[in-house]
Amino acid sequence: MKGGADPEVAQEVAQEALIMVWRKAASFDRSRASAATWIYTIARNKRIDLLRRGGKPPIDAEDWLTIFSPEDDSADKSISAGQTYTRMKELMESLSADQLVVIRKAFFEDKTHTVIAEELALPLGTVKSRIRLALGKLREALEREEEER
Amino acid sequence: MSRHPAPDELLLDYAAGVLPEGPALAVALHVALDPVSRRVVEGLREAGAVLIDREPAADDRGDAALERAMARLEQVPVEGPPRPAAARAGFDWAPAPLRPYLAGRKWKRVLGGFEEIRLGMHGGTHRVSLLRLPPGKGLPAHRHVADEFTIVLQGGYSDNTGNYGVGDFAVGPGSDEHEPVADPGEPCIALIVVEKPIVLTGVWGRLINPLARWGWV
Repeated sequence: MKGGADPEVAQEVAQEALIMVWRKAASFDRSRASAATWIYTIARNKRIDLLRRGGKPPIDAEDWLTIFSPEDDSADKSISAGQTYTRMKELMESLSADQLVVIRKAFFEDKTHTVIAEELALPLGTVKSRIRLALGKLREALEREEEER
Repeated sequence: MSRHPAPDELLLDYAAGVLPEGPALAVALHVALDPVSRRVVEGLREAGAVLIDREPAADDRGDAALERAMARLEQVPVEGPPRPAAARAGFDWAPAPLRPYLAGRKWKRVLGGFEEIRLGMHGGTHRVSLLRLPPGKGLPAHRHVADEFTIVLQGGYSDNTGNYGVGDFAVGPGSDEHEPVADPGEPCIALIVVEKPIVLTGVWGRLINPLARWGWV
């Protein structure tokens, strides 16, 4: 996992995440997310948990899973996550370099759009409009997927 | 579909898991109530997985660690499927992500004619509260000095920027004054997340402006 962690921390996160994946295997729902996405979410939560331990009370990573998981009852399960993954792969290839760099920094460097704007020395509005262009394309891709159902 | 969805940049921050707990909770509740935003977040998470799959593996130093972890797995019990936190009596309007915060909590009457439940957060960067406003009742007119997010969970309210119903996500109007008023019908219940302002210390600050604790001026 990237995000500026040193190798020992990265290894601990990876180990803890693997154990969590094992323990929680029964909770994995293929219709909600691809395996890669699910494992990534667990690893990310483990990392948040580990970083917060310095001087602060530990957060049970499962609390974070609760926070980040939406209401399950009303979820639209008619589209398989595998299809979405393929769509998103096409989408990532179609984004401009400017749009892709913002999305990459959010996922790999754990930075909010505000921090990304500071770091790239761009006005906040410019970063927001890049995100909105990228998510506009994402919405179009998801709509095409629903139409093809 | 909400008439007022959360802005795209917050959906991205949320999907990437970089928001502090308060704003993350606000977006989680919006996503729980809004199928369109939920699809966007699910799409973004898949996009995150695509980006990871495109990364080359860093090196093979992880091999020994992987073997140790695999050895530990033998001792780790596998758990059954999760049970969602049950809705509590009187809090049946609360979507699942909010339920863990409500254990043992009660509405408290606040000067100004509304009720409040303050929610404890792990980080100290935001003030997070549930507010309950009787129909037709308003909050005092105020401006914001910091970011404010509001997500409606029951009923609705109106101000000079529009009308907000269940699932709607409002971003504070910044330096413009607003005076939200609860719609007729059910009491309006909303989660309010305010970035903590620089607090005026001392007795004068508190006397001059009791609303400063909300980031209102």
